[in-house]
Amino acid sequence: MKSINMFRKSGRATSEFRAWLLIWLAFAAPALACGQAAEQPFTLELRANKPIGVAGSQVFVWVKMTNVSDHAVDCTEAEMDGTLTSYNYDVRYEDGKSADLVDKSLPYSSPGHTGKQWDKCSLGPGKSREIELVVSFRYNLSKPGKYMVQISRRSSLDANGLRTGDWVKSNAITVTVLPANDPPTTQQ
Amino acid sequence: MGDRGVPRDPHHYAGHHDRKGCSKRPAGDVLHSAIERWRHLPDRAGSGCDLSHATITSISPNVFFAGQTYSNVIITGTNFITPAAATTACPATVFMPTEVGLLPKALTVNSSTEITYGFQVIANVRTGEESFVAKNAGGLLQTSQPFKVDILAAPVITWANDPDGTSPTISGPNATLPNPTVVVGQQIILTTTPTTLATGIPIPLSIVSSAWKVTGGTNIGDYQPTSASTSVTLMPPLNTPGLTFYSVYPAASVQEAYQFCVGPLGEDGGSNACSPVVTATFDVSGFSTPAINIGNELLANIDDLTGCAAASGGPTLVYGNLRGPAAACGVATGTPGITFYPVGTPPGAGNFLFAQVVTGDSVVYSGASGTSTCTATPGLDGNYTYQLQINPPSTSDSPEAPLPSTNATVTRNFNATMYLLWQSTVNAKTIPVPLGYIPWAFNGTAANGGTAANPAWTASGTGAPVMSNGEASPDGVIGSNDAIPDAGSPNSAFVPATTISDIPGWNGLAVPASASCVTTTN
Repeated sequence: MKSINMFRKSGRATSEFRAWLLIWLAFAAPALACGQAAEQPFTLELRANKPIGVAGSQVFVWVKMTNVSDHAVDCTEAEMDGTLTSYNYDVRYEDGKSADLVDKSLPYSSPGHTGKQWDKCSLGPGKSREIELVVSFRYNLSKPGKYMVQISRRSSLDANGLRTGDWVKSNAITVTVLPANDPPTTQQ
Repeated sequence: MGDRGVPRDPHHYAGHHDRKGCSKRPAGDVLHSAIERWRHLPDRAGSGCDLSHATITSISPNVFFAGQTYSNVIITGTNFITPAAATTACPATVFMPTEVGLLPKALTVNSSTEITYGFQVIANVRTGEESFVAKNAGGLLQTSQPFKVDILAAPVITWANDPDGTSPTISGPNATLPNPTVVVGQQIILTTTPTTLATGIPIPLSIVSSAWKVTGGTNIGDYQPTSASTSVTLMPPLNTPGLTFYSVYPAASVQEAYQFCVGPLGEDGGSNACSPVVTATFDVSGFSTPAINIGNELLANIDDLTGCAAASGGPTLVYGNLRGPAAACGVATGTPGITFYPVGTPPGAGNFLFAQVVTGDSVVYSGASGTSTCTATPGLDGNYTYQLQINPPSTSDSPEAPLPSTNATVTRNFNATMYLLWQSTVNAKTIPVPLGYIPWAFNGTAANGGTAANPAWTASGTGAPVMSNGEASPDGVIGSNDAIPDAGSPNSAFVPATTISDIPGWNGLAVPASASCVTTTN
């Protein structure tokens, strides 16, 4: 009864507590849910456009970048050989071994590499941006099976434009690749 | 239609005298015997006039549509009196409808067994029955039993997904929205009535076919571009009661004409017949003078980009002029090789979109040991939309290629077509429509005047729209060539989209050149 009376008497404190709880739920909880530290300026949420793909076809995933900081964050992308190099990719077989790279000569020590810089992008506080990534240009996903995909992105740029800072990791998702002669009967 | 089935006989048998001159007799309880005696009487006064009552055995056709005029309806029966056989006492047979839904036009008694009849069905009549009778002089006793036919209402076209959500009727004289307007790429869902026929009509029929004919405009069934693949779905089957499509380009009048046909249902079915054609008309609004303006068009450059763990960086052949990290390392600054600006006044709320299709891309490396030629597979450049941008004020491209120092020359030939599209936001059911495109190319060569250990690269070449009219490529000086637009004016290389084939399509992403290299050794 005493504690109840205390809450009754300190209604303002209770309101403040609730407000802070709401703020925590809105910002900190999603970050922690993705295994990310609360101080990271953005979160990455990965989803598969099609959880089931067909061997030999291009495999896409979508990443939603959400600015959870109080300042604008860079969201500019760059591309090499069809892969957005603004992200680090971790693609593994079901047994946990790293999937095979398409180009064993990475990082770009052989001829033939081409790239481009995308237009500048800045993401304001609280804003989100979802973009599509092609995983199959970097990793060989032609072998049927299940692949675990996780990406990460440096948290900031230095004064020279180099990506620096901590790695912000996405959630991990599973992409199933079926044999080419056994395509899925329904799109998922 | 009023009191269907009740003969509209202006006469009454009780008001007539029989041929023996008997006085007026009440109808009631002696009706049957009177009729029987009448029918068995001989020829009247030797006039050749048979007072036997007319009969109708068939009417062909026996299905009629509202609003239509029929001029050659054949009535078959017995005891019809032709004008030639008619006398004052025994006039020609009269054939008439019993309801007010028909307007008689012509009547010809061809013989004692055939009448040709013409009439018009009023426009707003509902589906139901109509009865006809053939009358000989004398009144009810000489009038045939009513012969019933089907009257079917004309089809009505409804716009099922109008933005107001009212589903207005858009065909016929009673249309609530006679000539609606849509914007390019706005989904149009049309439904029609009837889709089935009422069971209460006297002659059982069913709808056996439906047919649409769409004229005017450029129309498709669907277009849902994705990065994976994209193709145009042509117009859907036109033999269903409903129709869903999109108009891609502006048009003053896109007409959708609809007709259904009925057929007999069972042994007692009526004729095969087709409804009148009803038409709805849409105006399709769009851009009047869309364009892509071009900016920059720089010469090829050798830019020394900063490397990192993911890429070595160093000298890079760039269409544009960049400084800072290599693409794999961070965000470079500078000027892109070519910039595209969307131009045009939209017909409403919506977004400009870009999509670039790589039509050719090769990088050739030549050195002391041989030549490597790496060739990309054509396809969509990166993503749909280009760089995943929605309604950008501009977009750009700066193709680049790292320069391994072991090579003497590196040449990149890049060809692409940049499409400008627009998608209305009038509702969620819209598709992007092409406004036009610019084919363009970058051809640059880097030559190493130094050594592998101490390279000294120089660049030559440039990029520009590929002029369909054969004009020379610009020299990189803005304003020096027609290929480079004046500020605010369309580029002469811009090709307005006007046909279905101008809608961009691809089978997948362009596969980077690095995936396919062929090396020949010296």
